Amino acid sequence: MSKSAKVTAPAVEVPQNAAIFAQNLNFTYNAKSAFAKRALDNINLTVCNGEFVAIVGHTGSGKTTFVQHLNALIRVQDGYLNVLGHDLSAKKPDLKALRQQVGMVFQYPEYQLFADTVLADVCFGLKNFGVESDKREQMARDALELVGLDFDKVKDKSPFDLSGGEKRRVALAGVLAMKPQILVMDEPTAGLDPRGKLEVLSLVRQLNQRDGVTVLMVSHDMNEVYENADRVLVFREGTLAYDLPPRELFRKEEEIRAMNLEVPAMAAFCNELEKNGFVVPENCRTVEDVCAAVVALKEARNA
Amino acid sequence: MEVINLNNVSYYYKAYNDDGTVGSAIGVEGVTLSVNEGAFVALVGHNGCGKSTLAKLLNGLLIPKGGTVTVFGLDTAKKENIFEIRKNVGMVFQNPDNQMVASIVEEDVAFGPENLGVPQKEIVERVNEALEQVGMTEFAKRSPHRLSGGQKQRIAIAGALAIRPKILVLDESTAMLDPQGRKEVLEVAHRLNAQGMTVLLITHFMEEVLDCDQVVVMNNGHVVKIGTPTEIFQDKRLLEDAGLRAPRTAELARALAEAGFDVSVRETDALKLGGDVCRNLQK
Repeated sequence: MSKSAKVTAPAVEVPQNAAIFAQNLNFTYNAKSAFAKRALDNINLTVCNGEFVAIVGHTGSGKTTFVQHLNALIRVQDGYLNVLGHDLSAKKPDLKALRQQVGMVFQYPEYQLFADTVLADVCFGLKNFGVESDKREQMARDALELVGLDFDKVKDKSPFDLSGGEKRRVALAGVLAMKPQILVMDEPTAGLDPRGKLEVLSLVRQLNQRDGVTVLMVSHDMNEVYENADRVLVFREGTLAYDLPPRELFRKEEEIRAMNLEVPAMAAFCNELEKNGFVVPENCRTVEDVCAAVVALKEARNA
Repeated sequence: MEVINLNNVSYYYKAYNDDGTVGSAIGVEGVTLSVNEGAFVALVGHNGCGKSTLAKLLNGLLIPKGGTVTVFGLDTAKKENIFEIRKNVGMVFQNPDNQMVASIVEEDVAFGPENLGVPQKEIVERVNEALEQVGMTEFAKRSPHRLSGGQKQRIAIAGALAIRPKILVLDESTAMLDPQGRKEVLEVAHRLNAQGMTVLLITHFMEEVLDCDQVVVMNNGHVVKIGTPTEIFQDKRLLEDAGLRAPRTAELARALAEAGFDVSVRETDALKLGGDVCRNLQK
């Protein structure tokens, strides 16, 4: 199957402004064996430059398999995938360039810290990508300051002496030091306390809004997905079940629950208002915005 | 009946100062707390606030440097009590993968009673009973490594139950799980509590403390407040200081009440709150 697809691959037209473009993407683990397992089933999607996209779905739905395609940790088996102009279905894409442009943050990235000092850890990736040694420290300083750590205070510390939230930010800095254009994150807030979550999310939002970084965030926390993402991709049994803006997606309460996903609290609240005939603005998704919208509804009635 | 008593308990860790000298860091300080039999108590606070230190003080994994910890009236600082205390306090930790010791589920669960020298026949009974309590009977002969995170944590709980403790301490046992896994573990905890088990749930997910009898808020090693979930959720200042956040529905209820809506600040169900607001608007 994969062979013939490669030979007869039709000319694909990648939409303008697409950071990621997938067409008929399939993937099977242990193909041609008794343990073959279809992990991606005909995925078609486009992510535009500068978007903040959340990826949700049950364990085993194909989310991770998909994001691992994006910097070619998994090579395309069947179908077409283009990331920042790199044709990943081609035989020999420029992986080094690709991996500099697509930063990948795995689950619990702090488990991957290993060096004696924070500085050495952040510089490790830079060194591997061939950045000259005199430039590395400045780039590491920029990255550590970006994640809100005081460079001079932490650079000589052992990463293992830091708190959980700080460790995660050091790990993030290691990825951000290369100034990736796409940031792919697998549950970046898992295991953090509420303050740590807010810190990481506001950093990601800042990268997205101020620096124009395209963000793909895998998350199990529907409240955080609802409040942060421009668009939500829902994976189910290897297929892309939904590709919708958050407000629209979470109006489908029954379908969401049928997939064993939670309806975010603010979505459930607004849905109830809408069922009773009130109009809630489409973009209000945080507690503050929802509260302001409700107050406005009341004032409109009183006027 | 009081089963756990902490009287002015302090614990300090050894820490190295920047100049290389040895100093100390606060684990917990001046903690006084009492837990009654059959209670479901939540212990909340940000990372590093002393929650886990407190948990480890409860079964003598740590011995207080000041004050006393007694469990069923037994002082944890006395060596001769440790065995009895640990039989009564089952602990489950954060990472399910770090708590599996055997390659078959039922052998893993049997590890505790084997170490207690329980006769073979009774071990089998205990293991079967423990697996049933967490709803994992059908997985008895499986390998733990192929289970989901929530299932692994339920096996870890079964392992604790096999020593037949009267108190179960869940030290952030839900932190690394997906929502489904969290739900499974919490359901088991509440079911055990309904059967009389005293449960101490350590967490920073405020949604999980909704159904608890009592919430203990910690910050920088100190207990800063003890109250019911709704009392705690209303104290915005306290939560902010402690690096926590009330469930969003509770936040919205409070904000709407402040804006003059006739809604209960205790409401934590988004649907009900929505219904209440509609009635307000339709008036």
